[in-house]
Amino acid sequence: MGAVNGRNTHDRSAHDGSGRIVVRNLSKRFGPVDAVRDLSFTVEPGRVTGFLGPNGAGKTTTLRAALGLVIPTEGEVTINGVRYDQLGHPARIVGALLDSQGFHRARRARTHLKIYAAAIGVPDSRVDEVLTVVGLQGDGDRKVGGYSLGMRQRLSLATALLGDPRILVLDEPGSGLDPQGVAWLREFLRAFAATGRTVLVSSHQLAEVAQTVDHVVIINKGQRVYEGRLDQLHSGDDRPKVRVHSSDSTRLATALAGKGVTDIQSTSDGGLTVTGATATVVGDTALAAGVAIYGLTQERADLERQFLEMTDARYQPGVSAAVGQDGPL
Amino acid sequence: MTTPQHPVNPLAPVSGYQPPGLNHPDPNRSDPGRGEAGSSQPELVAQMVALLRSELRKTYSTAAWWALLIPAALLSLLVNLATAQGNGLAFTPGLGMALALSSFSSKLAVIYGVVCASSEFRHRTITTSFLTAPGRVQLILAKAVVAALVGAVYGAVSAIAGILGAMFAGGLSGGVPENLLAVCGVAVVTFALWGALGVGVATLMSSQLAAIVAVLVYLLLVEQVVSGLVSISGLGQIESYMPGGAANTALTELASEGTLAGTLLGAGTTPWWLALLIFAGYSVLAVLAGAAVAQRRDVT
Repeated sequence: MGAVNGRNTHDRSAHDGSGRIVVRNLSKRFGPVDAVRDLSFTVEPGRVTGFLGPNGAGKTTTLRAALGLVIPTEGEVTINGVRYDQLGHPARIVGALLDSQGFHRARRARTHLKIYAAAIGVPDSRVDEVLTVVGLQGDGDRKVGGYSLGMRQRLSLATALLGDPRILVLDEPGSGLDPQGVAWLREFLRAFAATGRTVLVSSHQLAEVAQTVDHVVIINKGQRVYEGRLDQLHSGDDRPKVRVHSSDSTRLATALAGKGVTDIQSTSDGGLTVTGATATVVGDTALAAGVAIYGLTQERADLERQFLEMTDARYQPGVSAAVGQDGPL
Repeated sequence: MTTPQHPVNPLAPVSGYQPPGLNHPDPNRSDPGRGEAGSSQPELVAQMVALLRSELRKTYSTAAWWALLIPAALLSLLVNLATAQGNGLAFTPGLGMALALSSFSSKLAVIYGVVCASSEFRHRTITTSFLTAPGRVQLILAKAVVAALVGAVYGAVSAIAGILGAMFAGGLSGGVPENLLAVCGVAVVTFALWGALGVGVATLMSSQLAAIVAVLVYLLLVEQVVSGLVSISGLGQIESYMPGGAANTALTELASEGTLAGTLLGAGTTPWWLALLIFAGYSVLAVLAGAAVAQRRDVT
């Protein structure tokens, strides 16, 4: 890849409309600090991809490099096959919500949006549409200086949506949102991705995005430690673990044993912890055995532990056998 | 937000629910620019027009443009009032106007240029501005053009205020001399160039306070000292070749052409149009340098 090519604005190649974000051997140095080192991963459309790592892992730098705000030391990030500055109408293809995105406090929210609607080249009617999407339709004429942090996050999202983009890039969007706001954002992002669009969302907390994302890219100290499906992120024991509460634990355990699932432990509250069977298998077995299920959860504690281990300061990328490019190899 | 409004029920199942505003479920919809071999000429023009509209909206949605216009007009009014009362001394109405506009009101035009560009860095709106522009250079150019427009308005309003000031003092009892109108016309151009120059300097420095202080210290102190020292050393008169001096010369030379004051002041070393061209060069250079620096700067 070599040193980054100059930002030649005349070099406008056509983008492919794929909705794919490709990070290729990205490195970024800020003075003596290696913020990102030889990072590669791909973000596919049609799903929500989580971009995880502890604070200072290089998430923001990577996202800003993708958006053409930070110029890579080496490598490149392409969106639809081209660099951000080659997209021509970037905001109609990529919407971005960045944590330090600013507002002029004296401007009304509607004015803020109109300014960028003009720059993007979309009609002013789009302003009311995006205000409605984010639930600020009644607050458009208030000055941004009087907005709460959560409202500013919504206004940031509204700005990102102005160009009706096919790709959304969000840096820690949950910060400042109340629990309803987080739930709302989760549903919004899932619905957005369900229409075949691309969502890349960063967070330093696995729990915050665990219910939203399908795929994760985990980085630590500027390097990738995991890329793949979230439910395949696990430690050495790669067997699924399910917690089940049923009308008859004994009968369910017997039925499961009959299917070859023998690693079953009873819990103090009368339930079972089944290792080596998915929730589907446990549910089907219970149905066949005539046992009613009151509660069935796939164990997530393992994910959290594995995430913390990978993002620990002492963690050495590439050492653990559990680290694979796309789940277990 | 008085009542939290959630247009989307967070508990609603994802499937079958279409959030408002997502109008293109078809993954094959045509995105702008997709498959195009390059941006055509009309396309580039349309992009520039879009950025200019955006910059104009930024301009009139904050108070900076009129807050700085008021002192510009007042200064011109007062200085013209004073010089008109001093008529009969060396001051013709044209020269009084040239002094008022070049030494006083023009500083507010350049400060406006600095403020309008650096407020984007100060309020961190520059991130969104870069993200929504086809390129950083286009954005800086659009900003410079709009600052030049505002600068031209500063020039015109300051000139009118100055004429009013001179009239109050009875300095224009013999009608408005042609020479005065010429000074006003050229002032509109220099003020426009000042506005653009301010955008260039602010983009180079990106800190609002530092840029304002640097511009004022340079214009009011550094340039005088340097050209004074060079003059004392017998190396010649370089004042009209420096940015501030060139802009001043364009107005004062024009005002003093064929006047007694002009002859007395030793005018004629640099013709007004040459000084104007030199100043235009500095203005363009500042904008290009700002754009070049903006192009390579990391926005974090």
